[in-house]
Amino acid sequence: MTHTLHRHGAAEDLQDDYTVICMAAAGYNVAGSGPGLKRFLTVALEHDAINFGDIMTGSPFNAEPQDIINSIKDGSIVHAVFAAKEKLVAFLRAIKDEDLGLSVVVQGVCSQVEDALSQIGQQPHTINTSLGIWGRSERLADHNTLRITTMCGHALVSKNLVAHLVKGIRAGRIGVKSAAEELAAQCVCGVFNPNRAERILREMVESK
Amino acid sequence: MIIRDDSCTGCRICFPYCPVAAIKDVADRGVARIDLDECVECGVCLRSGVCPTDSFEQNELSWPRSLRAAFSNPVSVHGSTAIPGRGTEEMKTNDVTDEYRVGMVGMGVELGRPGVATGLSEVEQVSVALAELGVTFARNNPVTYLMTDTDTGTLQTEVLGERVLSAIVEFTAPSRMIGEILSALTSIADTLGTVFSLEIITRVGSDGEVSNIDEVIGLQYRIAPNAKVNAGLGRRPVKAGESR
Repeated sequence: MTHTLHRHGAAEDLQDDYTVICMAAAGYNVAGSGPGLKRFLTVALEHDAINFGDIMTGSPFNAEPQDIINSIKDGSIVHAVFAAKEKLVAFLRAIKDEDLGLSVVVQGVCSQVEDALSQIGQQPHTINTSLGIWGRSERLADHNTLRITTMCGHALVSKNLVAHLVKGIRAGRIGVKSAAEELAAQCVCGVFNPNRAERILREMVESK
Repeated sequence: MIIRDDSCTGCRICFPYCPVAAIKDVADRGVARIDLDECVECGVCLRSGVCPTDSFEQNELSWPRSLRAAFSNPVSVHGSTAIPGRGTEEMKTNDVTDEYRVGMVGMGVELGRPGVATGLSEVEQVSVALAELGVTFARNNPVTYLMTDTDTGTLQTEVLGERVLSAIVEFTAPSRMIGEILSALTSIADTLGTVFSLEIITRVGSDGEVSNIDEVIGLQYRIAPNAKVNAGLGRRPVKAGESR
């Protein structure tokens, strides 16, 4: 389960992309974790998460927000996405104050995440770093498409759908925001960043 | 996954949604079909709801084809491997489990990602190469579950013809082996028909110093600017008679 790692892009391109996961550890603290996991999502919404979800129910782009929260049970794995570092810091501070006892993992530009943790008085416990893509790179989608598709670590966002939507935007059949939301809807756990997708789609449409 | 001939109108609306482009026209019949060799059973076509005539149908998948869904469809029930998801909790709960400690690294070789897909035979190529180095494959990982022998890294023969969106070979090793592991992966990367995304997990020292990953793995390897960071907020429940 490395679904929030390997998001493609340069550091400056990833400044508006922070995902936070909360989960219990099998064999340790799963029993009774449901209320804390629900609380995590509720607090995320209070702090302007731009996407959130649980893999078994979905995200607001393919399920009702309250249904997602209601479906959380012991052992669920929940996610939230933030588009600004200050929002992330405020959220992390609130989650620390909640003292859920559950594991919290933050994905983002490493130096920024370390600084965010420092602001709430935490230091990184363990770090998971991407060493990039190896092997038959000629089979990959282009750089801009990868910036979008890798925001779903389960690879459920098709490169052909990105191309189709870019074509549709250029032809005036769909708006950029709607196209980004259609891409977000393919991601079942709510870790896709629709704001960043919208920005990248706009760049793709405007480029030749 | 199948498309019902009796209701498909051949409108092609679904074509771009398939992550592996497995939906194709049937010549002269005005309908679409799924190339079952290419299909990884991820379920995107059905879940997207784009078919105006609801012509997608998830047929029952028997072993070993059921592995395709187990690895590729995150909402599927994972009866084939008895392991949920493509991988383990890895570092996400390390603040509670203490699986990854100072002096060792965790690594994950995720074949097929991003968006290329992989055959399980290619997964075996990698697991066999890593086994020769003496790494320790992760428990509770579906690839490890499919191994007939974790000392050799070989997978069950009957699964080797299956194709999945991605599969992660997860393992731990002493930090001093990193150079050897990366060298082996460099050699094998060009022999594969697919790509893999590579990850490394390092525990931060008790002094609070963040591991300098450049020094750990060597500057010749490209390191992404973003990472997953365990914030250290998890804890084991306090048992009766214990103090926190």
